[in-house]
Order: sequence, then structure tokens, then C-alpha cells
Amino acid sequence: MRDTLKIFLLSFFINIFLLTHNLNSGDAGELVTTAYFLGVAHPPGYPLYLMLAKIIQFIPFGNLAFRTALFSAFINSINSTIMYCSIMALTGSTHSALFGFLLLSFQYPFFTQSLIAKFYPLNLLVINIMLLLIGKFLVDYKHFKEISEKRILLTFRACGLLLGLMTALHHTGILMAIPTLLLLLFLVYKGEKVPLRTYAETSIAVSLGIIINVYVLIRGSKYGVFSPVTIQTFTDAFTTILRGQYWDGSTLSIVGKSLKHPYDLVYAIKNISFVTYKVLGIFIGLSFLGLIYMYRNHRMLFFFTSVVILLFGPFLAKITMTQANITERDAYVIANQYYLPYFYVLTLCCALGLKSTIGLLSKFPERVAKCILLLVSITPVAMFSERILDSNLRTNFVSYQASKDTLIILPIDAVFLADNDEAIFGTWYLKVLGRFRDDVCALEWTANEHKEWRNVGCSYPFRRDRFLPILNKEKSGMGKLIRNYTLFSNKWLEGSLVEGLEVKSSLASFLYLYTEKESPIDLENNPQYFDRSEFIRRAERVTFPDVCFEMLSDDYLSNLRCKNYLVHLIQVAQQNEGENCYGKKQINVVVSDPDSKIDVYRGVLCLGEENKQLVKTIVELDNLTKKKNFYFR
Amino acid sequence: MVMIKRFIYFGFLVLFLLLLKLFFEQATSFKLGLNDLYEEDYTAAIAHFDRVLNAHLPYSPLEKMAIEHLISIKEISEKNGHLEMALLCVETIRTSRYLCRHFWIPDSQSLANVDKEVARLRAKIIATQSPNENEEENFKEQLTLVKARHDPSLPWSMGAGLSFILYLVSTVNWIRKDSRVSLLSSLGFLAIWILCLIKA
Repeated sequence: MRDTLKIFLLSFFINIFLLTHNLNSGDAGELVTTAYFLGVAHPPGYPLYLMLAKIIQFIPFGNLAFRTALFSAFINSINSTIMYCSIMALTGSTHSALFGFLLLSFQYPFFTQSLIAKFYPLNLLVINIMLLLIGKFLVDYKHFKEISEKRILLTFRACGLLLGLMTALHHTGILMAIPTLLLLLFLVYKGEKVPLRTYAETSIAVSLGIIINVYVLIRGSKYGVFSPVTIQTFTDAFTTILRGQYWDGSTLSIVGKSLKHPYDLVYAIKNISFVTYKVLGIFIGLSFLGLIYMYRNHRMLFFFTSVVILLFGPFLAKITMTQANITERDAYVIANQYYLPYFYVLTLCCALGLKSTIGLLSKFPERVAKCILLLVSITPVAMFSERILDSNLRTNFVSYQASKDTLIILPIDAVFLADNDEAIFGTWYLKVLGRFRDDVCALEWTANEHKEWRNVGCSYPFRRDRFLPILNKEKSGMGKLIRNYTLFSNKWLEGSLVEGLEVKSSLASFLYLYTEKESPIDLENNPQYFDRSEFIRRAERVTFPDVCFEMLSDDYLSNLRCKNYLVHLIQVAQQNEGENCYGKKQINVVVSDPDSKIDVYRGVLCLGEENKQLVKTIVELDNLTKKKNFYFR
Repeated sequence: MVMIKRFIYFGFLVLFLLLLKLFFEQATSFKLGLNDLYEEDYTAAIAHFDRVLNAHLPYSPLEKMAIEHLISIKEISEKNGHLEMALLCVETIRTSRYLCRHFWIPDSQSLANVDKEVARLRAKIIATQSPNENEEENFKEQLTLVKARHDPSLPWSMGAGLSFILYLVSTVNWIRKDSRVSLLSSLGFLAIWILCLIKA
């Protein structure tokens, strides 16, 4: 017990040391905000995570994003402690257990997920407890040859509850239903008496887990609660829980797709092999040895572990990662998060692999053998120095600062429209939760196009018909409060007015649209309504791009936002010297999207006196964003 | 008893380290903020003082000083006609307090004045851009926006959190001990949780 506590504390201290101080990139802005308001996050709504995060948010120090990230650090410390205890129970070797604990703690996906506000650590914990329950059941079964009805009942009830809870979290965990069913089949095959009561009570336990999803209906349909998903009826809530808003990406269609196109499995295996090599490196060999060790000592455990590896590895890759070449975005969203359970089990195998090699040291004198073993078991510590340089979220303020800068440079009572989650989630955190610039209406493009998403970034009721006609080339009068429209885009928004209006990727780049109250504007014939110059003049003074230079982490989305700062600075420089250089030296500048390779910005920069310092910063920032390679690249 | 003592001891250790981390963040950012102020780089100073406020520690003197510095930057900026920067200062103070709320909002007694200041500056900015706008009307409009409250009810939120934990605990208890009382209490807590969710 004492060792367990020490291991937990060691893990927790390391996580605290590099934990994010503020908002991190990705879904954090949305999750922290919805948790505070007891709202519903993007489908499936994540009620279990939001309820637990809400409780953590009552801690009276730090800010709300920090407290929510602290929850991830805490949960992943429990996960790594369970890893240590499991290896100790299986091998009795402190060295192997320490090795497994360190290898898990310092591998990239697990480490980064411990430092940010996200639900994957909790997802892993639920899966982890199921693995522990079934694993211990199988080990005990091997030792005692028969097992009491009470034990069978307990195991299946617990697995039932955990499976039910998985429906209120990320749905990848539902895959654990297959090993649970296999366990049941195994018991029946072995002629064990599985009482009928087991089936009934497991169903009750599953229901007790699933019932948590009632949160989605209650909170989603409540007026005034922050929820980006439209939930008015029971059907809406049901659609959300099954991720129906994502059409092809809904849980049911993913299940259907998983059985089609068997040849995709080739790409899936290629991709998962690449990702595994990136994460475990030279330790992969040990995982094979671990599986052999398991086969020799716990054959049933070996089959169970293999099924779990295949499910959370190649099978999950078949569903989520079958591209010929994975982009950085795919790697960030999928490889870095979805495969945590897969890496967890592989790490366990690596530790068992180390145990199987201990016998080889018997030829050495005892002291030498002990030293070698100690050295090998702490080798993963070397990965920690790498993590300080690529996952140091303590130094990453980009998401928070970029969201803040985006909002502060907007005109009063502006409407801000973003076409990507990263741009809007941070502004929701600041605007809705922090009440920063609550005069601004911050909307996501999708919410304006599809009725299943709700416009949540306004402090006042916002009617769709006020906004859409303008973007659809129709002439329309403006609402009373809305003075300006500001559009943000990382991509070209096709089929809309924006396409022809030089919308460029920048910090908040922009169509600055002057309007006169209640008078229809013919946008096509009145270019004077689009004025970026004043906007940029004001933006120059209040933005803080230095956050990009301070950042030690390789976070993919933060790097993208630094590119937006880059375009912003170029536009400021253009404003200073004008676009006609009149005999001054000039350079052509192009900023491209790293994934699509599309040029998000093209322009000419004059190298006059005004721009001397600015151009230096631009070049430095350009070099920095090009140098920052995401771990999975 | 020994176990409980050990848990308490380790609990305090974790708490101490967390507070230390936040204090270190506050002290570092405050020092950087002062340097920026000395070099008259106000944008950087605001960003660093914002970090001091966001690493919230109850009764921290550094937070009070950071607020004072932000107010002084606001006054200088307003004097020089940089209204956007003045607005950034007051919005930063206001937002940092809201982002650090728990059972209550830190420095809530002074927030009313900050709210007024935010509304005043926003109205002033509108007036400088569009001279035809009525500044007083805009001030009232902004003040209404600034004062609007959308938070969930604190007692019902706390009730929801507590009943949810008790629901999970009693369900686990039912699984472990096979006791009907636990199952019934689990259903009871579920009902309370749902009630709290409806009311919050």
C-alpha cells in the first residue's frame, strides 16, 4: 500500500510540474465551459466526464481550465499506478513494475493527455478497471480451477456497470463488450455454472450506467444552458448520444462501416504499426516477449490480452485511420488520443517482456545483474527529457492568448464567425465563461448551416435569418445590435460571399463590414463597406504574438494558431508600408496550410523603415512554425 | 488509523505542491510583467499580469498588485487615447475573476465598478467610431449586457455533484456487497441527481 501511494504521488507530482496553467488547445474550451454550466458537449455529450469535471471545478485555486486539467493529471496518475500494481501482481518483480510504470508515464500520448483538459484519461480508467477485473478473474481461475458463483456475479455486474458508463464517455470503450462476452462464452464452454441471476443483474448494472445519459436530455433541453447541440426532444437527445449529428461518423454507421471494405485493414495495420513504432520505439520487441511470457504462464490471460490488443489496435485503426498517408491533423486527433488503451496494454506486455529476460542475467554475478536490471528498468526516464521539450504544456499559452487577442481586436457588438472548432472553443471559454467581450457574438459556421447545432456564443438571442442571407449573397438589413461582421477562416469558405472578399487566415481575418441600421446593403456593388485598415491599425497595439516564442510544446493546433499570428503580423506590416512599395525592396510572402498545402495567404511585403523590426519578428516566427514538428510527423 | 494519517499527510503534500506551482507561476509572471511595464511594453505587461490573476491563490498579495498595475496601464492608455488597450485592461481584470470562480467569485465586491468601467469604455469606443451614436444609450445597453447573469444555481449544482458521487458509490457498493439497501439508495440518489439537474 505504501509503495502504491508513493508511485501515485510520483506520477502526480510529475504531471503537476508540467501541467497546463491555462486553456489548452482542442476541445478544452468547450469541455471546461460546458462542465461549468452543466451543459452538453459535442456528441455524445460526455455526461460522465462533465459531471466529474464540474465537481473538480469547485477547487478554490487556479482557474477553471487548470482545475479541469488537474482532473486529467489525477486520473492518469491512478492509471499508471494501476499499471504498476498489475505488473507487481503478475510478476512479483519490482523492476518490471517500475519499468512498466515509467514507460507508460513518459510515452507521448499518455503523457500529453495527462496535462490537458480532456476525457481520454477517464476513458482509459474505465477500460483499465475492466481489464483489471477480467484479468484478475482469469488469473484466479487458473490458480483455483473453479470459481464461486458470487465471484462470477460480482465480475459481470461490475463489467456491466462499466460498459454502461462507457456510453456516457467516448464510445471507443464500448469495444470492451467483446472481451466481456468472450469471458462469458469461456465460462459456459468450461462448464461453469453461470446463474440466470447473473444475466438479470448484469442488465440492471448496464442500465444503471446508461441511465447517466439522461443528463443529455435534461440539461440539453433546458432553456439558457450552454449546449452547442440542439436538444429539444427525446429523439434529439437519443441522436446526440449516438452521435447522429456526425452522419457518417455516428456510432451506428461506424459499426456498419467497420465490417465493410476489408482491404482497408492493410492501411490500418500500416498506420497503426507506424504509430506504435513512434510511441514505443525500441521497446516494441519487449512487447512480443511479454506476450510469449504470458502465453507460457497465463494462457487464458494471453488470449484475452491479444483480443484487447487487436480490438484497440488494428480494429480501431480500421474504423478510424485507413488513409494511405496520415496527416498531422489525423495523427493529432486520432493517434494521440484514441489508442491510449492499446498502448496501455502493449506497455504492460513490455514490462512482462522485461521480466522474461531477467533469467538471462543469471550468468552474471548477483550485484552486476542487479545493477543491469536497475539500469534497464529506469531507461524510460530518458524519455522524460524528450517530453520536457515536446509536451511542456506549462509554457503553452497560445490557445488562451490567441483566443483573447481574437476577441479584443473585434469591434464592439461584432459578430464573429469561425469555421473551425479550435478558433471557436477558446472564444467560448473566454466569452461565455470568462465574460470577456460579452458584447461580441461568437458563432461557429456549422451552427449557421445546420439546425442540429445551436448558436451558443451570443449573450442575446440570435436569429439565424439575420446572418445567413448576407453570407448567401442575399441583400438584407442588419439587426439592431449588430454593427459589424467579422469572419474568421482557416480555409476558403466555398459557395458564399466570403469567397470573393479576400478572407485570409489570420488571427481574426476579416471582413470588417460597416453597416447602417436597418438599411439594405448591396454588398457586391458597395466595396466601401469592407474596410480592414482600421481593424488592423487597432489590432497592432493589443495583440501578443510572443506566446509562440515562449512555447516549448509541439502541440499541433497551437502551431497552427501561431501561423495565424504570422499572417496577422504580415498584414500589419503591409498596413505600415502600403502594398505599393514604390522602389523599396520587397518580398513575396506565402503562408500555406501544413496539411492541405493550400496557400492560406499570399502577398507582397515592403521592406521599409517602418517594417524593420516587424519583418525580423515575421521571419523568426516563420522559422519557428516551420521547425515545430508534431511528434507523429 | 495509520492509513488515514498517511492519506492526510500525502493529501497535504499534494496541496502544498499545487499551491507552490501556482505561487511560482504568479511570481514569475509578475516579475515579467514588471519588466514589461518598465520597458513600456504594455501589451506584454497585460498578458503577464493576466497570468498572475489566472494562477489564482486566495489572499495572494501579487494578485492585488497585478490588478493595481492593470488599472494604472488602463489610465495611461485612456489618457493617450488608446481606448482598446484601456478596455483590454479592465476586461482582463473582470475575466480573470470570473475564470477563477468556485463557490464564489474572487474580489466580487469590486466587480460592480469594473463592470461599469467596461460598459463605459465600450460605449466610448462606439462613440469615437460612429459619432452619430448616442453614448449614454450605448452605455446603458452595454451595462445591461455586462450585468446579465447566466450561471447555474450554486446550491443545485453542488447538490447535483454530491448526489452523483453518492449514486456511483452506492452502485459500486451494491455490486460489491450485493446489498439491496445499496441498490435502493442508489436509485434514491439517482432521483435526487435528476431533480438537481432539472433545478440547477
